[in-house]
Amino acid sequence: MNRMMGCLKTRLRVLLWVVGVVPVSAVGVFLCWSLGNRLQKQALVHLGATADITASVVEAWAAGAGGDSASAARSSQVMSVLTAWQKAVDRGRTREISDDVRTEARCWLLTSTEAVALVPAEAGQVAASSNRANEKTLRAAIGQALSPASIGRGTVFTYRSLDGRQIMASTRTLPGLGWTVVAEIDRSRVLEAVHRFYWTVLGIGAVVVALVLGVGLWISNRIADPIVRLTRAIHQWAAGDLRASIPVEGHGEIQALAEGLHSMVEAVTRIVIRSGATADQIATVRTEILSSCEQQACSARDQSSAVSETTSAAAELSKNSEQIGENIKTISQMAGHVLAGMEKIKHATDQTSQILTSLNEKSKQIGAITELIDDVADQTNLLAVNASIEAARAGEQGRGFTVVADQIGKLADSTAKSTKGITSLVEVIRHEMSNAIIAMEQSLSGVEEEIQLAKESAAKSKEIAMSANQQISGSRQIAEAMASIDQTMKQIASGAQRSADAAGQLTALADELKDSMARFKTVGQEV
Amino acid sequence: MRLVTFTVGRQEYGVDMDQIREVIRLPEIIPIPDVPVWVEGIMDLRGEVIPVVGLRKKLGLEASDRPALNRVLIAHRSGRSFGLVVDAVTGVTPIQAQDLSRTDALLSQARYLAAVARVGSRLVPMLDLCAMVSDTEAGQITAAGQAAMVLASNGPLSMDLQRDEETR
Repeated sequence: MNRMMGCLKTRLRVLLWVVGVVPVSAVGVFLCWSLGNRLQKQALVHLGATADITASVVEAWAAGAGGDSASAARSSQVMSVLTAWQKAVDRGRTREISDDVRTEARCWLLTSTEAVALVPAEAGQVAASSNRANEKTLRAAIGQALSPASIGRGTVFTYRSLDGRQIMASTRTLPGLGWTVVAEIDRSRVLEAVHRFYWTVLGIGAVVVALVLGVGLWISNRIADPIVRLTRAIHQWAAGDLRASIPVEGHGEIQALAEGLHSMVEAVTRIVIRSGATADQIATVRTEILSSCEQQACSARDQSSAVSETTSAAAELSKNSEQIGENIKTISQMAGHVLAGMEKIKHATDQTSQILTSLNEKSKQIGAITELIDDVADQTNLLAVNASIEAARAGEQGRGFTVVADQIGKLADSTAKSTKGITSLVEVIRHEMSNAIIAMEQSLSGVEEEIQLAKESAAKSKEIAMSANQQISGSRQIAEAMASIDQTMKQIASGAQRSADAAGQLTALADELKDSMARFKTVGQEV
Repeated sequence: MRLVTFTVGRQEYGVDMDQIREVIRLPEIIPIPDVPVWVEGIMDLRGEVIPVVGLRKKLGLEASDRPALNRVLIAHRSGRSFGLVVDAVTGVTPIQAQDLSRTDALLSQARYLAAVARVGSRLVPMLDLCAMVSDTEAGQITAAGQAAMVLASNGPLSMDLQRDEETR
C-alpha cells in the first residue's frame, strides 16, 4: 500500500513535473532557438567586423601608397599598413563597427619574415611590435585556411592559439606585397553573449525546473501526504488499532474524507466497545441461559417423574373410584332392599294404625254405652231413694216396698261401681291405645324417615356413583393430561438441551465476536 | 226414723227424711236479683216455682266442680217447698233413736245442727233445714221469684208454665 501510495506520489510528481517542465522546456527551447539565432547572427556580425577591418586596411593601403610602393622599404611599407589600419579603424568607428570588437580585435600584419601586431598608438602614432611566438601557428592556420580562390578576397578561419584559446580570424592579403593582414578575436569573446545567454537560459531553466520540481513536490506532497496519512491510519484501523487519528488540516475533499472517516471510526469504535460489552453480556447471558436451561431440564425431569407419579396415582385413583363405584352399586341395591322393606313396614303400620283407630272408636262407643248405663244406674239410684222416701211416707204398708227400694238402690250402686270399673278399664284401654297409636305414629314417622333416608341414601349413592364415574373419567383425563404433560416436559427437556446447545453456539459466536473485538484497540485502552 | 245422707264437699251430712219430699237432678235454675247470696235462684218443679238454696254457699264453701252430678233435695216446711243443692245423695239410712246425740249443750251457737247421728262407725251431722231457711226468708224469696216469673212472662219459663197448666 505504501509502495502504492509512493507510486501515487511518484506518479503525481512525474505528472506535475511533466506538466510543469514540458511547457517551460518548450518555451525555453523556443526562446533559446530564437534568441540563439539572433546571437549567432550577432557573432557573425562580429566576425564580419574583423573581415571589414582587414578589407578596410587593404582598401586604405591600396588607396594610399600601396601600388607603387612595392619596392619601398619594408619599414615604410609596414608603416603604410599601419596607417591604413589606423584609417580603417577610424573609419570603422564611423561605420559603426562595435567598439568592443574594434578595441578587442587584434590585428596582425604578416610579412614574409615577421608578424607585426597592429596596435593603436598614442596620439596618432602607429605602433608595431612583433610577436614571434604566435606567428608560426598563425601562418600555419592561414596557410591551411587560404585557398587559391580566396587570395585577394580574404577569408575567415578559426585556429587554436598556443595557449589553447580558440581564436576566430579574418585575413586578407595585401596585393602586391604578399603580406597578409589578419584581424582576430577570441572565439569566446565572439560567442560571449551567446554563451552568456545560454548560461542565463540554463540558469533560468534550472531555476524554473527546480521551481517546477519543488512546486510539484510541494503540491504532490500536499495532495498525497494526507492521503498517505489517511492510508496509514486506515491501515492501522484495518489492523484493528482504532486509536489512530489523522490530524485534520486544510480543507476540501480530503479533510471531508478524513472527517467522515473519523466519524466512521468513532462510530465503529462505539460499535466495537458496545460489541465488546455485548459479547461480555452475551457470555453472561449465555451462562445464565445455560444454568436456566439446566434448571429447566432438571425441573422438567423432576416434573416428568412427578407427572409419572401423578399418573400412577391417577390410575390408582381410577381403580379406587371403580371400586367405590362397585361398592356404591352394592350400597344402592341394599338401599333399594331397605326401601322395599321399609315400605312393607309402613304398609303394615298403616294397617295397624287403622285398626287401632277403629278400636279407639269402638272403645269410645263402649264409653258412651257405659255412660248410658251409668246414667241409668244413677237414675235408678235416685229412683230408689225417692222410692224409699215414698215407702217411708206410706208407713207400714210401704215397708216391703222399702226393702225393694233398698235392693234397687244397692243394685244401682253395684251397677254404678261396675260401670265405673268398666269406664276405668275403657280409659286404660283408650290410654294404652293412644300410647299404641302414638308409638305407631312415631314408628310410622320413623319408618318414613327411614324411607326418606333410604331414598336419600339411594340418591346419594347414585350421586356418589355418578361422582365415582366422573372421578374415573376425570382420573382418565388426568392420566391423559399427565401423559401430554409428560410429553411436553420431555419436549421442554429436549428444548432446554437444544437451548443449551444453542447457548454453546452462542458462546462460540460470542467468543468469536470477542476475538474479533479484541483485534480493535480503542481509545482509552492500554497499548 | 230414716236419714237421707248426702255429701257437700268432703263432708257427709244427714237430714231427717220427713223433711224431704223427693230428690231430683239439678234442673235449670233461674237466678233472681235482690236476694241473699246463698239463694241460687228459682226452679220449676212440675209447674210449682220454688226457691233453690245452695248449701255450699250457705256453708261458706267453694262452688262445686262437678255441678252435673249435683242433686237437689226438695224440702218442705210449713206447706212451702224449697230446693237444697247438695253434691251427691249417698242413700237413705234407717237410724235408731239411741244413735242420735243431741248437741244443744255443746253447740248452742250451731243453729243449723239438729243432732249428730252414728251411722255404722262414722258420725253424720244432721242438719235442720227449717233452721237454715226461716219462714220469712222463704216467703220473701218465693215472692221475689214469683215477681221474677211475672217479669219473665214472655220468656220460655212462662211458656212452659202455660203448657203445664194446659196439660194439667
